[in-house]
Amino acid sequence: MEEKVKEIMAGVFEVNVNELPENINQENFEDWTSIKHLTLIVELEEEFDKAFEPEEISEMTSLSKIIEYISK
Amino acid sequence: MQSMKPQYIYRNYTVEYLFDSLHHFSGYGDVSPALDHKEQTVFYQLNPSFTPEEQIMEIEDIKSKISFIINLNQEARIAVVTLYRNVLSGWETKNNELLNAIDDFNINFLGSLISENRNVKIIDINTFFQSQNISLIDWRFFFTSQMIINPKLAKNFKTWFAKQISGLDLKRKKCIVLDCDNTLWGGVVGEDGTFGIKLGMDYPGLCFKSFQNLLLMLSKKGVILTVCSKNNVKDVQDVWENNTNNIINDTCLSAYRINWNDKASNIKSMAEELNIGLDSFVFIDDNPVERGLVKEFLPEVEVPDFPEKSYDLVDFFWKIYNDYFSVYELSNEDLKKTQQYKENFVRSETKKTFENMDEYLSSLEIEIDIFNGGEQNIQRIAQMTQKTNQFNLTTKRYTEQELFQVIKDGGSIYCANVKDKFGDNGITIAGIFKEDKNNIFVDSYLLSCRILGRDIEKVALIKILDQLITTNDKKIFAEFIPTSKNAVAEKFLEDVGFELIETEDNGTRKYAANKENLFKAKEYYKVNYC
Repeated sequence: MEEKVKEIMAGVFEVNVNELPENINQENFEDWTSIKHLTLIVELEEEFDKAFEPEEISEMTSLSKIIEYISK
Repeated sequence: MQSMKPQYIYRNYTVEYLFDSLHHFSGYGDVSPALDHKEQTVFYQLNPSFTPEEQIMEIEDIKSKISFIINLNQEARIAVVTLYRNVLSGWETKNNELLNAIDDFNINFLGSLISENRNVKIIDINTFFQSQNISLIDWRFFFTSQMIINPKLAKNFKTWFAKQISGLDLKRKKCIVLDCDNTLWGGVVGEDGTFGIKLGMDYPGLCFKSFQNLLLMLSKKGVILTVCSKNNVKDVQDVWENNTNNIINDTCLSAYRINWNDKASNIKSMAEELNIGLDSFVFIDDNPVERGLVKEFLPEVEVPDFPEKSYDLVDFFWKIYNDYFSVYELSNEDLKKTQQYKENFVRSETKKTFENMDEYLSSLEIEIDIFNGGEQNIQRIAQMTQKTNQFNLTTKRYTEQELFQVIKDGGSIYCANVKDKFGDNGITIAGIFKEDKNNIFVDSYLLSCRILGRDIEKVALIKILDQLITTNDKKIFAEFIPTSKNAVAEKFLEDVGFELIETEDNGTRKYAANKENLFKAKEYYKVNYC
């Protein structure tokens, strides 16, 4: 799943997967803007067939949190 | 398809996700002129959570904004998007008054705009929504991010929008070239005979008859019809004269070539005969070989794919119509209404078209409430320092505890609430100030981009400084620390009258100002100190 998430991130942020920092989060990756964040959430929802709550969306600002909420 | 030029997009809600990143966006509801941009799009929609009455008021606001934008940007090509008319799902409007107001906007208001301004074009968003089959709004994203269209529709929207924009610049076509056998009728006239071809009252002849009927309507609207067919001319003429189900004949054809020559040469010679350019032609033929040949030798001619099944001919016709011949048309009835509407507009709404920015801004009845940060706002202010990346002079992050410490140490914390006649934006501005005996330091100043474009950001800072500097004449210092996200605030300090005194190696710019040199706020901003 982690690989798939990274692949989606790379697509949204328009970079290669290997350009994503280790343990990527909104703080250590400046292209992760609030608009891109929502695009990312939409793509994740489609890929994993989920609908996150607004509270979850605002917390899903790191790779680990994203994986945590997708697995829930 | 040619790629889209960057648009300057006037908007009133969050729409960035619906467009590629090459475009530029106004602030929310910001109508400042964008003179550098030759292609502009006005994309205003209604807040679906409003009551019908509030939405009707919002329509009035949108009208005045659009009139203003068009007044100020005469040089640009402005594409105005219609208002979404939700008649299907019913969560928004079973309210006739609102539906009428939306229709009035889409038909009469926009209709009169395009009849008076050659540079204004209309894009009808309802044609997009009609073809989507998931819900048009996702309330989670509406209430968290002001997205008025379900972000899951974004991909489809991008494609659709690019097509609409390129359609605006596309030269409308003038002429259709039609094949006969298996295009205007089913079967081959040379073999099946004048009455053996499939054209008439049952399937599949009905499909071809409907197709012919629609083509005839198009010719009555002024589109030139021609025929180019590989046949014996006598056979086709016999159909024209004797088969009464056939209605596309020499009475409505402006030219025809019925021979065994190649179709590219035939079309070329018709172009000369009719004296119109090849780029005005659309070629319709069921035979892929003929289509390929025309595409190859006459690349200017549009050659759409022909449907496999004759029952798809009606859809095919409307696709051709939309792609090559549709213009945003007004019927005589509409024009009459437009006239009435215009008269009403001049009578009762003279104030709606504003001559300049001041007139417009003063009509908004902007009110700024300035709070000397009491405890009840500290939490909100701390949160704003944590989250605001764009309009933020120094991007310093504070916790609540740290803010209390700032106050203890003699600093001041302010925030401001902004409202106008259309609504209350809440607390959207925060500032942190430190001082010593002779000087005041602007430690932080930040705000939500939603309120930009109405000089509110300047007025608020000036008015806060006004209150801070009542007792003595202190010098004011401020700085701008550039980050990857705060370019929007780059010029701000200069704009309010600060002078650059030093740029440090790391890019930080130091500014100073005296109170008397600062920007003077216009009198129509109502400022309250709370």
